[in-house]
Amino acid sequence: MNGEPDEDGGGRSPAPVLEARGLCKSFGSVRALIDVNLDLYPGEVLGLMGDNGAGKSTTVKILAGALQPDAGEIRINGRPVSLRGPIDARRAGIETVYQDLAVVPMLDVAENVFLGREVRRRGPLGVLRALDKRTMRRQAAEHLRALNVGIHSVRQRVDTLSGGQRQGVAVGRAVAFGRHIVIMDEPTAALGVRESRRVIELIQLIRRRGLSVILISHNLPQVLEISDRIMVLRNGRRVGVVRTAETDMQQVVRLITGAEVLDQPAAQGSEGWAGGEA
Amino acid sequence: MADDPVETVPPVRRTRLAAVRAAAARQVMAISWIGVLAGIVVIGAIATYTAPCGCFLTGDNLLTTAQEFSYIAIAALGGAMVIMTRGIDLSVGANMAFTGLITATLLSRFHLHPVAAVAIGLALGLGAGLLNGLLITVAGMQPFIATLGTMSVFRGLALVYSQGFTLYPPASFTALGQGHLGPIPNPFVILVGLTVLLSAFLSGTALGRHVYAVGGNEDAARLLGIEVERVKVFVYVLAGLLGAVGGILLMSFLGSANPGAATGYELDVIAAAVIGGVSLFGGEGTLFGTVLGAALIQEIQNVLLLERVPGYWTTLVVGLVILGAIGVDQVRRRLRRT
Repeated sequence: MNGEPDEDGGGRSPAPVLEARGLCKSFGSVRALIDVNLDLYPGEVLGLMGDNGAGKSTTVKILAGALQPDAGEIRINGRPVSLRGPIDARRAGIETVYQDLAVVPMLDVAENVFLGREVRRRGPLGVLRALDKRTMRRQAAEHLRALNVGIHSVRQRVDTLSGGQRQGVAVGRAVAFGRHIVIMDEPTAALGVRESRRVIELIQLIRRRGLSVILISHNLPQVLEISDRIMVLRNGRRVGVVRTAETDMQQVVRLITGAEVLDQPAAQGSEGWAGGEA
Repeated sequence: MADDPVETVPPVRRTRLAAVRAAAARQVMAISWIGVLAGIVVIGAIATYTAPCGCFLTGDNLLTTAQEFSYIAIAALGGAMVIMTRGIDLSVGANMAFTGLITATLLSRFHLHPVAAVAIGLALGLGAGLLNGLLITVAGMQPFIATLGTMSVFRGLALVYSQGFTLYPPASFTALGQGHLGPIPNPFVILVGLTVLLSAFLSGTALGRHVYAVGGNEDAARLLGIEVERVKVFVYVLAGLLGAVGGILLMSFLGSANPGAATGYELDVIAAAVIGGVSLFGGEGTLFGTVLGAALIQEIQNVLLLERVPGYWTTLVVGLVILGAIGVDQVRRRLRRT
């Protein structure tokens, strides 16, 4: 088997930056996620693939703090974390670029980059403290310049930007604040060829900075091009994890369609922490 | 705007110039109140030369007009912020009548110190706003339905409490609403002060920006960790409080508190906001524009009066202006998308 690279090497040197064990989530009678394990190593790009309804979005939302799992545990750098909301996830160093970008069209670029964690001036007024717009604009401009996404002024309203530029704002936000992990949910779904190319370069740039990326995508050639490993979900279960260098399109398609299964449900259920928990 | 080297991302020169120019044009389009200001100036200029009395551009007429629209404009500051979050507050007129009535009673029947009476009146308005906010966030009601209900509740409370009678505050209390600071009527002074203060709040604080974020893209705001429900409750509370300010000032100016006072003001508030460039789709608009919107409505009424147009025409003209403002808003949105 060329799968299971994350389980067979329990004692290898780079410890995973993110470990999720036994994630379960149901919506009413629908079991969206069944006992899913996920490991993410420092500086790697993990492609997360699967058909519609396979559980990709649910996994992403749990890791982004937008959904709470019914069962399961998440560790970051070995420490258990509880992600009760998007703020918790952001504090834990996980940034998410959402499929619909999560930008506010009427606010300007700098305001969007800093939305929800504005820099405020010192003062006694609590929530009414004045914003430090100068600092936010300067920092936002620095981050976006480093990404080279072609935004002319951070004072531009986001509704005056093109789709690719908006993507740049969303990615810039994630990179500016992500300390460990950037999750990208279908980042190229709404983009043209040239802009998609640009996003792929951005992902490579993020990796070079030592961040880990979880890339959710339907675009198989793209995932094969930039990922280090590919994890496939089907009907809420993990059906396999493969090293990108050791697989090909045919195998990934077989996993997605259910023609091949690498992870046996029973084996997955017995899997535990390296050091043993209980 | 894009000349500050620190805030710009320098790409290729030529495309940059074009892009900056396009962006500048869009920014001007984004200043939603420019059209209203132009309207006010043009109507004023016409009235100055055509009004038979020749009295449009006199201190007396302008100050009286300023006085008359202040109550609605103060309430509209709150209404505008509610609309910016994609909500609506239909209860503000009833709130104005109710808080004015209670404040008048506290003064005349219970002989409370004016400061205490006004404080209680304001607290009541705040409580009314809190009720709206909680019905919408905690109980999950549609803003339109929730405030339609509380509109009747507040108006009903005013009727039950007064038994339909008009109540009168002590004559001394009319100094608040009828007084002047120099030549400027007190209500207008308060309006200007509140507009400056609240505009600074909206543009200069995180909570103020979150008002726009909640209205502009509620899902994004939530995903980015903004406490959307708290922002909403906050704007309804503010709207209730500002309604009480307007209601108490109106009662003081009139020297009477009528349970039927301020009927229909909730719609004038919405009209002022919409004419002033606040979009009913949320996330958009300014308080300055809202005040201009209220001023334009009052100016139209004033000018029709001076031009000796029968009063029946006023409502019709204001209606056409509202439709015109919405039309402009539509065009602006379409232009921005392209």
